[in-house]
Amino acid sequence: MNAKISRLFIILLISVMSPLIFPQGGKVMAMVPASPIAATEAGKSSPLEESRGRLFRGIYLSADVFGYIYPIFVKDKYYSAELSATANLRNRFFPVVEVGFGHTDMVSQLYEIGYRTQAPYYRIGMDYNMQYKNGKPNYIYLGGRIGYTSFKYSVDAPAMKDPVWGDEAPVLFTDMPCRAVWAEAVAGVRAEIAKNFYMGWSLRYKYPIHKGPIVNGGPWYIPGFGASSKAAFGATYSITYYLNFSKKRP
Amino acid sequence: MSSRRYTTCRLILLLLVIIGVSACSSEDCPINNTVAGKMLFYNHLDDAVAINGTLTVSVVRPQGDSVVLNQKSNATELSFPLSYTHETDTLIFEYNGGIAYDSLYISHTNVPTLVSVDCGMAMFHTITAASSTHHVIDTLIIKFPEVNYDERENIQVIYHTAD
Repeated sequence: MNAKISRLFIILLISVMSPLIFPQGGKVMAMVPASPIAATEAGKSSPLEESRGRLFRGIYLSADVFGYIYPIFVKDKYYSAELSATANLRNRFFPVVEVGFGHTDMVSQLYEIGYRTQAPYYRIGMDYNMQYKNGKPNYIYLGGRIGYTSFKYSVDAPAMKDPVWGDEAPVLFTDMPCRAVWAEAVAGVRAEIAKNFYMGWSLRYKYPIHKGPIVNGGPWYIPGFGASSKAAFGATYSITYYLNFSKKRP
Repeated sequence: MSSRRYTTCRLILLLLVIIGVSACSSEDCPINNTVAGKMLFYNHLDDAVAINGTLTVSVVRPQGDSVVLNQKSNATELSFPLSYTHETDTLIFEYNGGIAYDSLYISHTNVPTLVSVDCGMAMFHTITAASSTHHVIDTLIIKFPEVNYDERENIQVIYHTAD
């Protein structure tokens, strides 16, 4: 587990550092931020001044496709699709609403345990542009989310054989209701790939706040949270269209 | 290579690395996957005691008794199974090769529990009542009713002590 966390931390560190080292894509730049005064040209405001200007700049509309790519590479077949709307406030604060749908209908090979669920999930939160002073459309952000889902799940498995008495106990849980609330810490990047079109990813550390009622061990996979009874890591890979409500680039 | 194309390539590369790391992950299953009740032996002063001589414990089944502890000397505790389908189990305590006997009656619920699809199912229990005959045993006290992977002390067995 420690090795897994270490690998994720290294990837996160490299990923966070790479846009700082290559802010213009391929050209190695000195890691000295441009002076806001030097950036000011006649008739133009500096990025810092822009960050203090109009509050509402636009809306990012995103679709997360990672939830359908990830299961290709893992044995646990659970899927999710997600849409989000992010408001751009002074290119610095980004309140966000995310709505998704998660589902799984799988049978584990080792124990032949079948698990089925499907439900929508919701998250609200805020991101913070760590490079808002640069005034560029590509940026790194940190943020947080609160997630919620209400769902039902079903489990069926081979009967459990009592090793002492020799009896068999059937295993069939149908439409078990459950609600879950969790918190997420988010780190990600967003980069413009064409005018008003963006691509980006985020890494997420998810921590359960509430899960219940817990009956027969509780759910294994929670839509929006993932398959873990404890803290979990997640990721998103998003395609984004930006509705620009100001004349300047975000 | 244009800056946008470079950025795109970099993001795709990072995505592949993340997927690679994620694919290596696996669920951590409990190291201890044995579910058994646990009882410890005490005297009236609440001191832990050992049984003088030997203790043999059997569970009563329709197809015949099954020995779960065989002539253990100076026993201080017992791990005992609970049935998956019955509501009350009977344990027979045989002291010193048959000099004395006690019967213990353990009532419990049976809860099939999903540990995870990768770690399998387990049968957990909740002990609802415990009683016994009183040839050597005085009282049974339920200390912690949940029987699961935790290996906590579920029942205290209080023995008669010579004055």
